[in-house]
Amino acid sequence: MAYEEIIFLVGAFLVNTLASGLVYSLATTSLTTMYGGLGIPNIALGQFFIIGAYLLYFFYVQLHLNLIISALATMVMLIAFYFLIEKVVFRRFYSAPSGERIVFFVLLTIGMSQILGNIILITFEANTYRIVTPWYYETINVLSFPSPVSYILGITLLSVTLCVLFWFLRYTKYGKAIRALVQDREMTGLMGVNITRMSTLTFLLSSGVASFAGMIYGLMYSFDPSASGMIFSMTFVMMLVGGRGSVLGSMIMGFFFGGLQAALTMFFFPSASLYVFFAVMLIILLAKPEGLFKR
Amino acid sequence: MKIREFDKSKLPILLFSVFVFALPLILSNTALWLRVFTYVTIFCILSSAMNLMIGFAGQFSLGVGAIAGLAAYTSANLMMRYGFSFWVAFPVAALTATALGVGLGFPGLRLRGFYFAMATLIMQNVIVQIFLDWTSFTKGDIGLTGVPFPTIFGVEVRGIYYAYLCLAALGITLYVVYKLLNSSLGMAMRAIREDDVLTESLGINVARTKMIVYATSSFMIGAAGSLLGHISMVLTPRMFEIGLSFQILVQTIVGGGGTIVGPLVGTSLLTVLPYAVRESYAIQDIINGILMIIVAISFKGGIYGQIKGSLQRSKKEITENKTIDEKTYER
Repeated sequence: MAYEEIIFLVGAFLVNTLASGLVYSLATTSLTTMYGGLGIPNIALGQFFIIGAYLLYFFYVQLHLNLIISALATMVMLIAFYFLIEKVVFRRFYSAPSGERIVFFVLLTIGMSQILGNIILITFEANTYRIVTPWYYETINVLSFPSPVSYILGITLLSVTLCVLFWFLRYTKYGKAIRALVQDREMTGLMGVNITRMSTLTFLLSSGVASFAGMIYGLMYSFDPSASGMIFSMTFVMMLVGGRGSVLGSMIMGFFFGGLQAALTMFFFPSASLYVFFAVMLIILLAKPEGLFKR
Repeated sequence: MKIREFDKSKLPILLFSVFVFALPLILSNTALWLRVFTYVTIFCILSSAMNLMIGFAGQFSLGVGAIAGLAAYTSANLMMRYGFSFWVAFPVAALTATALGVGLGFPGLRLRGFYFAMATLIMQNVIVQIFLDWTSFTKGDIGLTGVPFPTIFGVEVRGIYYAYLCLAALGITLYVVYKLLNSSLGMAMRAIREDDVLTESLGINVARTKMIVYATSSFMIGAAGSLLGHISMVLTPRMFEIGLSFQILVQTIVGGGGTIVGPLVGTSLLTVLPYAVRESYAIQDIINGILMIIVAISFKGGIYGQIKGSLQRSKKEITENKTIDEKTYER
């Protein structure tokens, strides 16, 4: 292989790994905080994720709004929606005994995923969409690999978000309270933290992060309703392998699996990565059920 | 020989089964409703089998769609490509499904509750992906068309006869479930649902019991999947996606898991409903989702559990009042 070809492949691998790895990291962080903090195994994560992309498409392409305004409108609408469902549905079950709670949450989130997924299917139908921005066809060379501008923009936005999220969870008062919630719910309440408010905040933060990642995903790739199922199974694998409740573990796993997927897609066929993910998950689950990064 | 006295409390059940048995005859004029009836019986088998796993043994397996799909494809391929008769293909398909079900259940020996559910759910996604990629077996997204109906002595079993075939399969399934639950194995299953560590300490072989449950219910699911394959016009991998598992789960839980009758109630209700309102599959799934949330919020034990609970409560109140009266009388 010539020297230029290797450089080209490395560039392609780097861009693809960063793009999908960042998306996975954010989605998995969302899943982990919700499962660790509130005990909700969010089966509707795929729908929470992809609805961001669809709403952005709706505002930007169909209503011809400015890109920034449509992104803001998407986030505001979704946060309001999440606030509503948290208040009406999820809040009732936080204090249920843990064995019963998980069954309720599985039922609720399956119901949510059915409703949201099929509303998307009815309004947008099973077509493939892409959000064509003015700079959609332009490229920037990364190590001689002509990377689309949308990838570079997406990578920048996602890494800034990831850093802010990490800072928020690690150093602010609210972040500390959320991490305390992940560790021990009752004890956190005894320490004088308003659990109800913190739970709402956790719910909004984690579902908002998922939708934001989905929005950026929509800017970078073309999407269809089946993307939600793919994202859901991959992020669940990452959460289980990384260890539930471990934010750092899920971030690392996002990059690891993103890189694995980029490599497998480049050298084999795209669905090969699903089989490999599955094999990795099964081995980890059987050998070390609590995941690699214990919290 | 002693003639057993007729138990009056069994009369409603007897009348109801006669009604169900006569139903295909009543419906035989309309092809659509006969087909709906057949679907209801097949889905009743599926939800009874899932109930055996979830409701009674507490094993939250979500791989039903994949197991049913494998059976449907196996029996269709055996008949269409290799020219086997239905009566060979059907048991072979069910046995293949059993093998897959036991394989899917293997992690269940180590994983509990939620983790097991997730493992089976992801395996379900992977198996559907295999169906999509393995085009020589499944024809991929184009779909497998023209799956033949079974024949007996050269006569094609279709329409009303196929409905009776499915009804017979449902009858056998319910009989097996009933017998299984009243055996010592059924007790062991329910003990595992409550606490499997404690059950193990009582000297019950938990791994063996779990494996028997997986095998039995996968066999039933496989049989139902094979029957579903022969009545469907076209078989596509998307039919057996996670949506199918969720649909059966909703039917089981809305009706009331952990009872024999509950899943039948839920399945009949939720299968007939979309045909009654004549809407698309998407609307049907939305209705399913809303029902699921309502059931989770408002009543435990599903619709059947709710009715049964209220009946028992009223009975209990009557007896309680009586005892109080008697006590005051004694004084």
